[in-house]
Amino acid sequence: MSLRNDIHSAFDDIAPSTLGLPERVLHSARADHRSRTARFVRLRAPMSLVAVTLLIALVAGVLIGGHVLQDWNTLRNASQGNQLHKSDFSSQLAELEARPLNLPTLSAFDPCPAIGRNQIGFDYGAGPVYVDGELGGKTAWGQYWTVLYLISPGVSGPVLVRGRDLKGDGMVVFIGDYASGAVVGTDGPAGPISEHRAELVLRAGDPRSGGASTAFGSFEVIQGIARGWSGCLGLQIDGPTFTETITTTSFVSS
Amino acid sequence: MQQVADVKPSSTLPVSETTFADLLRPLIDPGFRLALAMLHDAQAAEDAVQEASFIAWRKLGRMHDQGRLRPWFLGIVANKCRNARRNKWSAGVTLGVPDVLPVPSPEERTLRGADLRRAIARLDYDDRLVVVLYFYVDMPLDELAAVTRSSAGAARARLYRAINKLRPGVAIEEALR
Repeated sequence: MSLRNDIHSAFDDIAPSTLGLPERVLHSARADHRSRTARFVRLRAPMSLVAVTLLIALVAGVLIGGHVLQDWNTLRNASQGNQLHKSDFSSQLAELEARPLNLPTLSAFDPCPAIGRNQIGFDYGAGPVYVDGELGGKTAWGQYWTVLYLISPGVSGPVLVRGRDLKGDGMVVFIGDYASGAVVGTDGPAGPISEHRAELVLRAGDPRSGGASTAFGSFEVIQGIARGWSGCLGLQIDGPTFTETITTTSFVSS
Repeated sequence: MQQVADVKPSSTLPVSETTFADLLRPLIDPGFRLALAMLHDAQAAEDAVQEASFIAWRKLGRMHDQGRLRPWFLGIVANKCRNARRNKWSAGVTLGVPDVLPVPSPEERTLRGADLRRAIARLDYDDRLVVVLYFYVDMPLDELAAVTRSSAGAARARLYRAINKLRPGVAIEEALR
């Protein structure tokens, strides 16, 4: 064997799988970049200027957004009738939503059954869905996280995520493009007021997520829970052929 | 060697998240391989690549020749590996070559591989870097020289010296195959 082959085999022997590594690195880099950008804005822009800019953006957004929404709804309604796969997706989602939420209910004195970092290297999950999370800030309402959901290669169809405090009544709420289900509140963790939704719906295998038969699909989500939560929460992740439960623990700060 | 990440280019262009992800994604695996071979620790290697990605985003807008992206990014990873070793020293952790390397492997039975890893770990940082880049990351000498901020000739000379340390009895031509 050549020295090159010897070195390759020597290090390949100790190299762990790098499955999901690019997604983890890019997710953390994005979060780092956003936090730096936010700090930069806070330092450089006077608050009054920021407030006026936000107000103008809000008004313009309402005016323009109304038209866009109207057009989009028209387009959506027109295309819905002849797209059979959309109704397939909807019926599959309805089936997932009909599944009961089977998360454990714990007393205040029970230990939180938090699961550890998995072998692939993501924070949580036994597959086919994995979760990496980072603290995303607090408001008067509660705590938020920026969470990256990663869906294993080969999974397709809707993936439904619901969650709640395992030692209390608080439910996990979702904000953004993938948030779905009932509106259960509003808050403004990222500036403008956003709706809190009770469900998260991910479209596994969607090429826009990077998902494919050989690559992880990744979905960045803001999720949160109201103040007073116990520090122990559970997520139930339902897909067409699986149900996965993730329990996590976190320090609760006031 | 000069540290690549310390180079201060002139102006900065904004880089979108999508552009950054598209550019960096193919470099993460070679970055990890480099860091793993330099540090012999998978978690430390991932940390080095992660920290390198933070720096890369901040400085990517200053990169005017994106054709040199790979040596530029691997140079940042290499600096992170150097710093990781320094940090370990300052924390009082012995970095002498352990009998059993810290990365668990079911194939540790391959004594030859373990011996070779140990021998590479005994090389000084700069020698180890050129060996890993050339033989494990499969980087050509001109790119390797860009990572180490040296001339191609100097990089080649360093590589030959390192090969001699690793395989004293082996002809350079044979080792370079």
